[in-house]
Amino acid sequence: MSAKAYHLNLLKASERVSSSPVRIRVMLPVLAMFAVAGAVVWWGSLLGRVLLARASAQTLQAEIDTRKAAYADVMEKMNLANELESELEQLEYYRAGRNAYGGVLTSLAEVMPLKIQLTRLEIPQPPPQSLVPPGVLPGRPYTPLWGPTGSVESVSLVLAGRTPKETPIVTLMESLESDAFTNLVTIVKDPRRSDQSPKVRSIRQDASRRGEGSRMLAFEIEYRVKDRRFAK
Amino acid sequence: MKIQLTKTKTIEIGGGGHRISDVVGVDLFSGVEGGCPAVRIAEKKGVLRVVAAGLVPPPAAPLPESWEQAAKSCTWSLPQHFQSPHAALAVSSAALFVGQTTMEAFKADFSAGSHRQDESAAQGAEAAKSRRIGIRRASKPAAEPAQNAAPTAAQTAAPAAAVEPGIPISNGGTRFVMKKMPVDGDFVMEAAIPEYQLLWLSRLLPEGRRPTAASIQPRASAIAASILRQSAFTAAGGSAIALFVGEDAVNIAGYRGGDLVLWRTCRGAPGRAGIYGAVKKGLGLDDDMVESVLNDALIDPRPVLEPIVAPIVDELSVSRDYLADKLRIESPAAFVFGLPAGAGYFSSIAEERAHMKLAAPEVFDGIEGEAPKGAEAVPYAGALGAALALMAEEDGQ
Repeated sequence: MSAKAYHLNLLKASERVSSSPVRIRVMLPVLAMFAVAGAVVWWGSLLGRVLLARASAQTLQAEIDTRKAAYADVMEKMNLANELESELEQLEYYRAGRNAYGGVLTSLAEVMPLKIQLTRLEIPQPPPQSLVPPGVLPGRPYTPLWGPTGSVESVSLVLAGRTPKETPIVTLMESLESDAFTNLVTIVKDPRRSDQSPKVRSIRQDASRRGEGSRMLAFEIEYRVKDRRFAK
Repeated sequence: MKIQLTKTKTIEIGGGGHRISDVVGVDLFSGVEGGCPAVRIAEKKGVLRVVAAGLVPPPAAPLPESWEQAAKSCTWSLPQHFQSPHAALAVSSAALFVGQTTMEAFKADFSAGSHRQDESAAQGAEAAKSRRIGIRRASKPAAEPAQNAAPTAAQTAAPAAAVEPGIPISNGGTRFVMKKMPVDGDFVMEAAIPEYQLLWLSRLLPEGRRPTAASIQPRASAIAASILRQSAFTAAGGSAIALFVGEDAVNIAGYRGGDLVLWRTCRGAPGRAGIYGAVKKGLGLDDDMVESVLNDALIDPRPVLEPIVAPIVDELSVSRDYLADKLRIESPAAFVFGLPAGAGYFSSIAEERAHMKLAAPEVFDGIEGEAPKGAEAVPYAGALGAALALMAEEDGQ
């Protein structure tokens, strides 16, 4: 403080009061009270909402608990339904993939040359499909697929029988090229094609011990028939 | 900015960036007829202006003379054009002391305060007349009832070492303040007032209404500050010697660099009332003729004035020599204040006896705005000085 010896102020600093009508020492507690009241209201509202939410959650939890058994039952039935639907779907696939050969084979007797004897009529099991995932390099380890991914299955018909030498097998093959068998067998005569049909698998001297065996030939002819398509 | 948190707790924000630029000075209980002189001054862009000056109705109650009277608080408000934010009150009281002393004497007096508190009223009155160290004390009567909340001496006793310049302190029922004078040596300006009077004054202007008291000063020291804006004073670089003629006392003040370096009271000088009374009696005049005679050259009042003024001028001369010899203040500007009439005779007597010409400028010289002039302005010196002292103090902080 500068000297100013003429200013002999007898008033203490603590006795000086403000002329402003807004007094901090009054306004501060008032504002503080408002702030506290606001905080209490806000906190009360928050608490109310929390309690409400908690009660609602408890109600919902109780409802869930009461419905849990029913829900499990529903889920079980839904699983069962899904399973059955899958089975049905599978069956639908199988039904779609079913090829009927009965009528065709009945008419086979009518076109069969008299001197030819069928000893075996077989639809062999298709070759197993590849379970190697696509893109796997040979020799590398891999996890095999769960099952075949293809929905088309090649089917073949093997005719085995005997015929005298005088009656050629071609007679039978020509008989099977008639219109009655068009829906059953596929005829592809080009020998360069991999899907050639029919294929003569074997023709050999019949080795049976019967007397006429020396004059008979045993043959096996494979026809490619219509694919089985497992699709709706 | 000062923020008052409680009645006793005040905090300051902003590190003193605030300065007071609008103050109303009020001269309380100075005996001016018609009210209390009040002057509102405001400083704007470095220019000090008088906003309002006039007499305001005094407080409803007189200055208390005891703790019982002080207990009855009195609130006061000023007319609207005097309602500045801050007020500087210049107070006149028989129990108030102001004077120059030494630090040693002040401490001795300060320590004696608690002892005096326990003296009887009669002893207190006796002590009040003492001018050795000048303090008039209106002590609390010994038989005062216990329920009156006056602090006891033991409760208020404070060590003299605790007194810091410029910080008011209560001791023994008296409020003291002391300021070191900017001179070599251990001189201080001291003021003391009974605590009950100060507390009563501090509650006079209530909180929350303009103005509130920022300073309560003795009228005598406030008048010493009324010179601060005088053109001749500032032109002289604040080096001056001034004669302040009061109603019942005459004081001499010396200034260096604008601050007070000398303050003395002329022993035995009668003051304005005594001087005018002597003129009236010596020349056989009516009351309303005294000022006319002193202003106009109808009758030469010098034969009556000289015996009274000559000792004052002699003391002034001694003071001037002191300023020159001890404080190296050569040829200070010389003034006389407080005389509505007769300043010219003072000057001529001073010129003859001490080769010193006394100027008697207008009270409001150096301040712009409409203000009373001439003899009418004389009563406003205390109010103006109080306001100027407060502004100057705040400027210096």
